[in-house]
Amino acid sequence: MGMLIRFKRMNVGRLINKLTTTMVYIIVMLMGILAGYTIMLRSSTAGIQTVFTFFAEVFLLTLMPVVMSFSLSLLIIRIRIGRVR
Amino acid sequence: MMERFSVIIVFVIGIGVGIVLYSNGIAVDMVTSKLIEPLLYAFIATVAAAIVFEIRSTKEIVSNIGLSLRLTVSTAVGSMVGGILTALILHRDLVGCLAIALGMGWYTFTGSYLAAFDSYLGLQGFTANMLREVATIVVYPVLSKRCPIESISIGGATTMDTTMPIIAKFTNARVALVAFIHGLILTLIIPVIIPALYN
Repeated sequence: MGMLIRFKRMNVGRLINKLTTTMVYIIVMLMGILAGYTIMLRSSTAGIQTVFTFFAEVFLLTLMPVVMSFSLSLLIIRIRIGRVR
Repeated sequence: MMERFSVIIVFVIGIGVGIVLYSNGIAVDMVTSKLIEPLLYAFIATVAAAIVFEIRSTKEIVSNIGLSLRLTVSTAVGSMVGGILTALILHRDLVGCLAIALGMGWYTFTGSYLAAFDSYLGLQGFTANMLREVATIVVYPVLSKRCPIESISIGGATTMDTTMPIIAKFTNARVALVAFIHGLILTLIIPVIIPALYN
């Protein structure tokens, strides 16, 4: 009985993993199509300047949360705001 | 590692397809947005099922929950501060920037959710959060030598699945478990935070 439950659990788990992986690729592909289309639409209406602005914005939107999260976790976990570990 | 690159390759192929379709005058933005929405809901359902199947021992999880909670708070607050600072620097919509920053690496959800409202915001949400995952893969091996626990916050929600192999490889089982709980909590709260913030 235990073996049967483990077998079923393993198969369902594997099926879910495969389903998730496949869906990620489909979603990523659709997002890419949307991205390519939107970039072309934006750059044709506002010019190539928009594309550079887009990447400058994305760079900051990636960098700032990463830097702030890391700094804050250093403050909270390591220093524990005043208490040195 | 190869899987990470394959996601980027698929994304780049998608951009190429989008450019070709635009060049041929075929409007796909509305159709794609409509297609993404049901896929996203199905994806969330499979992720929820995966979480249930990945949890094996509750005893192990409970012992590291305090540290993981502190780490989760620092990741969420740090991302929030990062989003606010970006909005101030760029003189942009604060709520939009906050929603992108609070995606915390979950690019499929953030990108497709925001794309339902504004395709440009969705594109930025997708790209910025995908870059966060790529940044974790590149930066974590370097930072893990000095700050293995604190560096987990860089990965955001991805630490329970996609960046977990990197964390486990460069640290130990305890850090990997903390990373898993951290990612799990963030994965559960992101679908609540972003729709509450941007609807």
